[in-house]
Amino acid sequence: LPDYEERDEHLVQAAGKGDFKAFEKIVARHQAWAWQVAWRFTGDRDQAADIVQDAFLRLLNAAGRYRPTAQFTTYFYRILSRLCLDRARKKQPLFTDTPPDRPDPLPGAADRVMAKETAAMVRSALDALAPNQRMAIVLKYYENLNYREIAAILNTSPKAVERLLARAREHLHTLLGNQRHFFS
Amino acid sequence: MRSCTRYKNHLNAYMDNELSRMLEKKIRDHLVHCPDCRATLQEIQALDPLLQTLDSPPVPETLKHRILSRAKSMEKKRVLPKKMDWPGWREWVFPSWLVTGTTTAALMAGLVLGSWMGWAGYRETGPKQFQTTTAKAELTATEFYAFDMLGAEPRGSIEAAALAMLTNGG
Repeated sequence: LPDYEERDEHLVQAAGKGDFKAFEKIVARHQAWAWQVAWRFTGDRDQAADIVQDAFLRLLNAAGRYRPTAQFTTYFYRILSRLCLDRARKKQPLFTDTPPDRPDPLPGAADRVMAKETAAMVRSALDALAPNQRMAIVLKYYENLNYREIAAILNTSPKAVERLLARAREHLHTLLGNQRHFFS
Repeated sequence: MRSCTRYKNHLNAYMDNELSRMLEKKIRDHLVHCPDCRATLQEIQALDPLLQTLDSPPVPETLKHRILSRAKSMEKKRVLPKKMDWPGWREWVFPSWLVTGTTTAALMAGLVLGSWMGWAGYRETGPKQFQTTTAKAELTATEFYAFDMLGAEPRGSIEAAALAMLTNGG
């Protein structure tokens, strides 16, 4: 375990008292996973960057009132997921920023093209999900969180998370169902 | 069939290792005999490798700098008004609890002092002081004349009015 001084909870409280260095440490430590969550949810670099930035600014704004009742990561996941869901509710789903296709001269090019196509299809299927189902999938599959943790982040019960994931998987299966080779 | 539907509802939690040991064992036993539930479970499991194909691009190099510069400007905005905050200074010198407390105490003291003075006066002189005699209250015609100088068309001189007041008042 890191020293108390270096723990996230302490750093946030220090940032709340005006210690900007502490805030810098928090950003350096958590920006990568925050970025991954936001990008996997939105599928768009600019939107993901905006969400991550807003999340850290909100954190700084609320740092003075922060009380370490729960783990810091749960607290920050909650801010992040709320911003993602708010944005998704305000805007129409936006389709991916997958890089343009370029001829690939290296061996195994065909496999890579196939992988890209698959990823693009998964992206489209994720974008077609309801925002809270998509967030549940992101937290379960990419962040490896359990039902209780997801429930705490989405402010719901573990049973509701189970139902949310069941519906999301059913929906994904329907959307990707025509790709027979995925399920063979 | 009824039990099959009941188990199917738990297949997601079964795959995610979220069930109690007892229920997990029941479902495992059921799956051995139920091809339908096995097929549903395989469908759920097939999503896993598929979703893992979605790689996240690396964090933009400028992101940290962008966050920190916005945070710095936000902090500056938050600190600046505090330096010139006149109401804040006034609050420090005259805190609201002190102002409210002093006002209430002054009002209460005034009320108590007034009551005490009234009661003390009543005890000294008795009820007579508070009785208005008709003879004293009624103004004579001469006194009225004394106030005539304040009217629009005074008839007498100021000396005459003062003399009339002194004569009748005494």
